[in-house]
Amino acid sequence: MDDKQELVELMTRYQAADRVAAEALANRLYPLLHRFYSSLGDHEQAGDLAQECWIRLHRARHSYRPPDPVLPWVFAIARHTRVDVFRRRMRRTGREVTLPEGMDFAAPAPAAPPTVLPLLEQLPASQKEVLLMLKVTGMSLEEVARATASSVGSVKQKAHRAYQTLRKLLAEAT
Amino acid sequence: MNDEEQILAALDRELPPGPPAPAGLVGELKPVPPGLSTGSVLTLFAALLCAITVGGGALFGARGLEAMTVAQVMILSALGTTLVLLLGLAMTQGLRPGSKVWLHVGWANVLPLLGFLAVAALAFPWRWMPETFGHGWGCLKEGIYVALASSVGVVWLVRRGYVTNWSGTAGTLGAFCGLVGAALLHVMCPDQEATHLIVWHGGILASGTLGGLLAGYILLRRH
Repeated sequence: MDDKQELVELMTRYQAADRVAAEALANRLYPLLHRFYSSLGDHEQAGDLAQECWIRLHRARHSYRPPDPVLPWVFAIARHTRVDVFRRRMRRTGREVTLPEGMDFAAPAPAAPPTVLPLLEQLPASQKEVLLMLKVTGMSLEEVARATASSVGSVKQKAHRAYQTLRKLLAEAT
Repeated sequence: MNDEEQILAALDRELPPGPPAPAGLVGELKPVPPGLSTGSVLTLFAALLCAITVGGGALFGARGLEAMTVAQVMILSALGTTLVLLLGLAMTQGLRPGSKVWLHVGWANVLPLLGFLAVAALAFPWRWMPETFGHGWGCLKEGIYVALASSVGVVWLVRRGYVTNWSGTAGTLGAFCGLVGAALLHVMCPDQEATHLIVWHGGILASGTLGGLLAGYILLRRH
């Protein structure tokens, strides 16, 4: 059974209230969500966002339909969780707060400069999101299109532009 | 290794791995049924449209149907079927996050009105009279009441899904309810004249879509 089929199997058992499957799924998805939020620049809030997202996934588990791929369902909810949390915060503070784009990693600096990670900051949010979904989650183009409610062509274009920009920035950095 | 692979490999190397899930993340569990299939959404939409149109026609009379030619009835039936298919697919997208994207939600909100206006303009005669135009308010009001009544039927549907894009999904629901209202009026209303249809019957579709978008905006603000 491959990874994606296993997720479908776990999700189906989770819908049937199987605790072992629910915990296995949480153990698989939580680090992925944390890494996704972290790499989008929300390092400080990544834990809170991942937990909030898990609560939403739990509430929305009835909306998943097997054998659809699980990750597009997860990340469609994950990206809306992020937007909702920041929108709520903006309303609470009563002033405009831009989505944090800064990278503030506690991880040690990579060994060989120049690094790609700080350059991600210079990408438009939608391109960065697509690139990270493709890389962090290992989703296919079709799955990223489902998660972002767009077409495969649009995802391809965004990924291509992201690569182009990164390539250019890397060349300038060296 | 090409440039893209190098960039991806560097990203993988540099991105910090996510921590393990905290203990107690999984709370109380209850079994839930799996999400709605596209077929069940389409069936529900078609059944609701047919039930209200046929039921309303039987109760209040089918004077509109009598005033139409066979060709006009067939064109309208084809339009109704296409729009139910279109809105059903858009609704499935809206209620099941991460499902296959058939069409952009914006198109689902605009195409019913555009399709209706095109059919009204091309398949119905233009015989504009001030008195026909004036009593259109009654048509608009009745159509909106029917649209509101049909919205009760689709609440069940929304509860079976999980909406991430409130404004788009509510706009689609509003467009469907407007379609139900306009369909019943087509059966009941004897004024099968292009101007009347475009302004008043088309007005029901437009009001439904706009009402849905507004409701979606309010729900979005609440969430």
